[in-house]
Amino acid sequence: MLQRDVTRTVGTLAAIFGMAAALFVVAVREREARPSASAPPSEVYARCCSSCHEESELRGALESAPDRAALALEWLEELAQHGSASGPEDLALVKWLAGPR
Amino acid sequence: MRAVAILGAYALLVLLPLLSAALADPIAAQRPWHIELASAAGLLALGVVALEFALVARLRPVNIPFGSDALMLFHRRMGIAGVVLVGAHVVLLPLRPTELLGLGGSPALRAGALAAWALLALVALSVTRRRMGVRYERWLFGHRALATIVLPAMLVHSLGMQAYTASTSVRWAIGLHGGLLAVIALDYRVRRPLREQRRPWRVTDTRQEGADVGRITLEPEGHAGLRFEPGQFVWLRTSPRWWSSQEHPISIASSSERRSVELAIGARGDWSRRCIEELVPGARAWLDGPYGAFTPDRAAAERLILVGGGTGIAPLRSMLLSLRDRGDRRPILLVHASRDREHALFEREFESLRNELALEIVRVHEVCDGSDGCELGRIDHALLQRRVNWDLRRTHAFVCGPPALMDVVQETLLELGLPAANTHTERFDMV
Repeated sequence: MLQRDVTRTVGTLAAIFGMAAALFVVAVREREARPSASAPPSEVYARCCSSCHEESELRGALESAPDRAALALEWLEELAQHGSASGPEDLALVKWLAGPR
Repeated sequence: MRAVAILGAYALLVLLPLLSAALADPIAAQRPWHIELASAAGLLALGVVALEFALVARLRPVNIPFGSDALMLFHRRMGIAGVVLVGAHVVLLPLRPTELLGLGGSPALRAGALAAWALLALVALSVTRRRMGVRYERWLFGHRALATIVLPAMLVHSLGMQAYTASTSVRWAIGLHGGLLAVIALDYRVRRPLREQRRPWRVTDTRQEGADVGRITLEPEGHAGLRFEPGQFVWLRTSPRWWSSQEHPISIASSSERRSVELAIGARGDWSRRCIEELVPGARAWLDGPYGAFTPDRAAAERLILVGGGTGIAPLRSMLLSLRDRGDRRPILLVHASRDREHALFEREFESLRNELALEIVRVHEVCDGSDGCELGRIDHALLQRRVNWDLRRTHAFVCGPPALMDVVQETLLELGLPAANTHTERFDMV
């Protein structure tokens, strides 16, 4: 009985831990579709846009845009022309701009 | 209820690094799924391995609902689970052979390799100890030494890799495990041994029981003694050095209603033989306890079945003497197995208890001519079916003895209708 009870408990815990691992993989693999945790909105805003635009202005434009991703890419191109965006940080910026609020 | 709460807390603590990693997620770029799965396995392994020590550190709130033998078995199985998780972590990562062997890579990677190999050696040693004939004391020394390597190496590896552990919340989760371990280790290895040291016991009597068992009577010296429930056990230490790890679990064989404590020690190994020789009247010993959930005091039983063999009869003697001292008149069936009359422990004493308890005794000897009322053979299905012929719903059974005997009795009582929850065992063969 002792062996059976312990085996059952270990089995249940293994199932819980297995499910947790699977959920973890699914959750963190969604990174591409959401803003990067390493680039909080205010930081991204400060880096790229604060010299020309108010943060509320950009937010308003994003919220009312019919295609947020397209607008984000448009902004990115604009930033590239200004020389403000470069390298891997661009990706984080696009994610923030395109991601859900 | 308490057991469910403890298991829930255990699962939550194991999952804590993984949950904090999922919530904090400090990694910006997407990574292949197998790398994420490797991270998950590593974070889970960290939780499982970090809590292994807590399972066997004799924490009273954890011991009470489960009993030490269940915790020991759980510790063993979760240790194997820890190795599987570490294996998955290693296999899923694209590591070079030198990194796998701990000969290359960053210091954090080397620490990870050291932790993985030490953990594998630790579990392999535990699983094969009996087959390889490794003495318990040597195994315990190796087990503790390897555990002392595994835990810090794992912490260095996980904190040094700076992947998910770059997040403050994950570092806090790992720090919590580390802090918890440090507190438990201090309590287990320093505070409790020092407290025991101030509560010595004096041997007042020794007797030989059967062919190879020593009965030692101990009296508390300068303190109130031990409050225990019949069927529980203590860790016995004969060395005056509080840091000594030379201690063994021994069932209490005496009544819980008396101040003195009696222990029945079978002269089977080096330690127990030496222990019987050393514990002469006047000698000192130290007891850590009581531990164990093998006690009728927590069972709402109308009848009791006690089945014991070898020194496994000792906790059952404690139950019988305690019930006698309390004037308990519940019907009791005692099934006592031994090789022959010479090896049967406390037989005369049990016979005399028939007058003071509602006690029926079945003596089963492997060598028996039938002249003294014994049954020939071993405890088996047929014998139990013949002797246990009443409604078992309100009966509780307590079984202690060699593993084979316990397995047969448990299976048979279940088949005869005893609810699984009403069978209680105490096993000392977990490692």
